[in-house]
Amino acid sequence: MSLRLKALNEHLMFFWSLVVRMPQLLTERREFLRQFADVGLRSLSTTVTAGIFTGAIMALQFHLQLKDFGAESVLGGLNTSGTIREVGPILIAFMLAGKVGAFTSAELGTMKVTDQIQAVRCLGIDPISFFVVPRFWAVALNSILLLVFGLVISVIGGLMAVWVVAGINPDQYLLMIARFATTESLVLAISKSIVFGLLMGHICCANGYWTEGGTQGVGLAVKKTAVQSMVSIVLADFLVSWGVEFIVRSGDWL
Amino acid sequence: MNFFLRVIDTTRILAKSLRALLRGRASTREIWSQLYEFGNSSIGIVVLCVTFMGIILISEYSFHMKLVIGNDSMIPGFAMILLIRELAPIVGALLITSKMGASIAAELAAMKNTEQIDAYRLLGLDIIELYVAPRTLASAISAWALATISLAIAVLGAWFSAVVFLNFSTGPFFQSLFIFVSSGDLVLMSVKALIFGSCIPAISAHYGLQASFGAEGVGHATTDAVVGNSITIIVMDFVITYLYAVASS
Repeated sequence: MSLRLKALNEHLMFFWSLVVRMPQLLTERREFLRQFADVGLRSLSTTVTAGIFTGAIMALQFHLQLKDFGAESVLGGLNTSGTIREVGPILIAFMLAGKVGAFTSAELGTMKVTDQIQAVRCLGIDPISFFVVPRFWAVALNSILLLVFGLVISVIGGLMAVWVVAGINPDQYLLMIARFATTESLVLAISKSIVFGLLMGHICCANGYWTEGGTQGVGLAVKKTAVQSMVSIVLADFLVSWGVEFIVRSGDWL
Repeated sequence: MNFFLRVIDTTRILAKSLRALLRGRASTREIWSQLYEFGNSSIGIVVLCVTFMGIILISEYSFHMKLVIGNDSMIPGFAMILLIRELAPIVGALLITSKMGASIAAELAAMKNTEQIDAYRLLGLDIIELYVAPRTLASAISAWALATISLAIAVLGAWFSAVVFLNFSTGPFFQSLFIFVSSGDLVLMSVKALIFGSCIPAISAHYGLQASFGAEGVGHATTDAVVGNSITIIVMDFVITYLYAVASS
């Protein structure tokens, strides 16, 4: 088996072991809740900033483009739909990968290289259920919630930008959102959030747990986490867009 | 350390390294080796990410355009203008941040922890001139080059997907592209990439030099550098876009 297939196989096995151990969350619920609150509170400000500015940038760009056609009236719908379907999830997920993912893999990596994980194993406790499972579900669930929250914030950011900069009537903007942001767009945005959240949780936990070789290894694990999260987010974005469109189209055909 | 002190310290580092570059104090060999590190080692993922974003943008825009005006002949122009003005510089800079920005912060924090920075100072050497200045130039040039190269390949990827999936023909695709995209957009992209690129090492160096003691301090410096860089990039992007919008209207 080639090296890449082997790495993919290891990732899939690790992910499966995290999914199988989900019931362990009940026994580790204190740790899980602590991690959940910790991760959420720490990344709330990043999410809000990323959301507001993503929405505002997209709104300004759409306004520049639509202005030449006199189609400013549809700005609200186009901007909201375009942001929550495509650019919003990617940019906010990039920010979260830098914030949450890097921190969690650095934490797990430090535990690994200081032999804390081996120590727990010596006590007869499964280190994956003890350390990794609560972190994985805390990061994954938090990222999903934060992504959806960030997308809501991005709508507000876009509204504020066009209201202040372009002088567009906010009532009309909001009216257009309801016309253009269809159920399909919402389904797409939420399924992207779920997939990105699970991916980020898995990648940061796997790289942290597999860290080897001292403090430099921790640095390498953090770097790997950031790069792998970004690349897999972009690839997953493509696959999810394609998959949801395929499902919707086959639904129409039926 | 509060927000304003951070901004002031980062500006100081940036100004100091720009001054060192202008006076020719940065070592040329270091600049070349950093150009290799920044540019060559991340070209693969930047091209991959931007190309996929181009392909997705084309399909998303086709959905929206059919919804609004019922025809999709203007998609290439609209989608590629967004790619040129926003996504190519932002995605390139974010990837450089998470690869190189993190490692600059980690390296400087580790040097501080092992008292190497004090040793340099004792020898009368300036760590910013020696370490940050070459990286500033290399990062600015690589951000610009990565954005340009990835943009060129992303346009080809978008063309391919438009021809295969959306039944475009090649002529109308490039016709629509050249109606909308002007040289001003390329200038805007270059300005954005150069500004983002030159800020990344200064911000990372600030977090690295402020790191607290121990392995945990190194970890915190790395994470904070990535977050600080990402937020700065997106805020600066908003400001530049706003100035462009004001100037063009």
